[in-house]
Amino acid sequence: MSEQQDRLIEVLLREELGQERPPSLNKAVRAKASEVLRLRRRRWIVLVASSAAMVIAAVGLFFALRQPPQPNTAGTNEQNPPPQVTDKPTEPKPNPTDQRGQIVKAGKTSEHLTLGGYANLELSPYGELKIAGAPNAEAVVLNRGKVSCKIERGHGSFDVLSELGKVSVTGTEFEVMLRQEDGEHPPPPQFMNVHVKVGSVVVHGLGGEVKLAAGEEGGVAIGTLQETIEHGGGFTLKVKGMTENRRFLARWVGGNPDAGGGLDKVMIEQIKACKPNAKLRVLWRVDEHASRIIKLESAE
Amino acid sequence: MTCEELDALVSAHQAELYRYLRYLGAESPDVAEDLVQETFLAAFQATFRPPGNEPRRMAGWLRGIARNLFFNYCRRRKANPVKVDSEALEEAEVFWAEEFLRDEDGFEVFEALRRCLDSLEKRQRGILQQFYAEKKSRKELAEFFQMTEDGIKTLLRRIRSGLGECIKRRLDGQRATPQ
Repeated sequence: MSEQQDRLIEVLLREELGQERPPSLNKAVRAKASEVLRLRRRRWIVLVASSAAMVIAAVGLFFALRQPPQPNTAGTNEQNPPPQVTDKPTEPKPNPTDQRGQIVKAGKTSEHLTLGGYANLELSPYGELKIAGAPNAEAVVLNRGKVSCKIERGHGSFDVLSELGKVSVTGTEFEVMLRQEDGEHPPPPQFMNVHVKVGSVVVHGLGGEVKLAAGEEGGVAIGTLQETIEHGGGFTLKVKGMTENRRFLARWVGGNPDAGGGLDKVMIEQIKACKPNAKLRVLWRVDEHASRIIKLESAE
Repeated sequence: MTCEELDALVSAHQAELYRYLRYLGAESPDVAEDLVQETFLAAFQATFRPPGNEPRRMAGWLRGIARNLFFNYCRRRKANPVKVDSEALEEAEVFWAEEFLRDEDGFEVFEALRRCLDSLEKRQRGILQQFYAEKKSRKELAEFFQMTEDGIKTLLRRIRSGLGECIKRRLDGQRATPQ
């Protein structure tokens, strides 16, 4: 075994068995960044003040030394021509109101759509969606497959709805993927996966919500409980349309272990109360390399 | 970079950077934590940033900053220097990028490790549990298992080696039969 591999396994074991969790450093980094900004601002103020003093001194010197101006007899103003005025109208943005209610089905290749001039979508091959929403509040209902969305900021809201939940954004880039059984008329999807590339989104489901930032993943799943994981406080679910069982763990709450943090005890109790083969609905997000349960309820 | 962008960057990459610095050889959680903070501050003040916000590219850029900071940290520590050179750090980076991040975020490696731990013999699992979870020293383990300290050290390394092989087999198997 190589030295690197040994070190990697060592780190993973410390984390998995020793509960050595990577800390949450947002507050500390932000405080240090604010200090950097404050120092930078102070440096700028000194620089601007000294520059202004030099400019004032130079202007004073200039006026003190300059000759009285000669009268302008030419009467022309060629160096400052009047501004050009054009009556050419600006091009209007495409208005997709006539598309609302329309169902879009992708064939062997992906379909590209632009809604409201600000929501650029790519529907995966064999995917299906319905155009919904209103001006400046565009929305689609995803029935099947995956939709990749790039939303320009500052134009309006955008929602992706599905049987499993809703994803709301104002300006970002993300993907929503549904997993379900194959077939001409497949049953409703059992698994929704949201992957954020830029900005952040809010996933609504099970009466709750979870905010996902750039690089994060989460969604909603419905499945049958296969096995309870006692050690980590979690379970595996068999989800229709997926070949492998999906593993979900209780989330970490309360910061570092020395600050009283630990796995969500209320959730662990809820998990323990679940019976084998129970049908469950889960709102989840990936955190620390595991799908963590944000909300859990029976889907019976 | 605005404070909001910095916040998003920290949320997205802090866990991987912490883990990466421990892997490079940061000797304690405190040292790794300090270096992670310094990494984000250096990124915040950087005049050059990789174009776009592609997470994988940003992660690679941040790891580069972290590696340089760790190297400087090792050089500063004259009293008890951590033995490290830039070539070894580059090799470590290649292994990290190719083996741990083969599925982009290491999720599959963690999943494989959990499954491999489940398949360990009871005695091996017990030794790992006592060493990593209960934080017992090699000396205490040697007394408990009636072995020498060197024997425990070798045994731990052998178990880790077995886990490494098991993880590799599982990941290669997953690659061969994608879902």
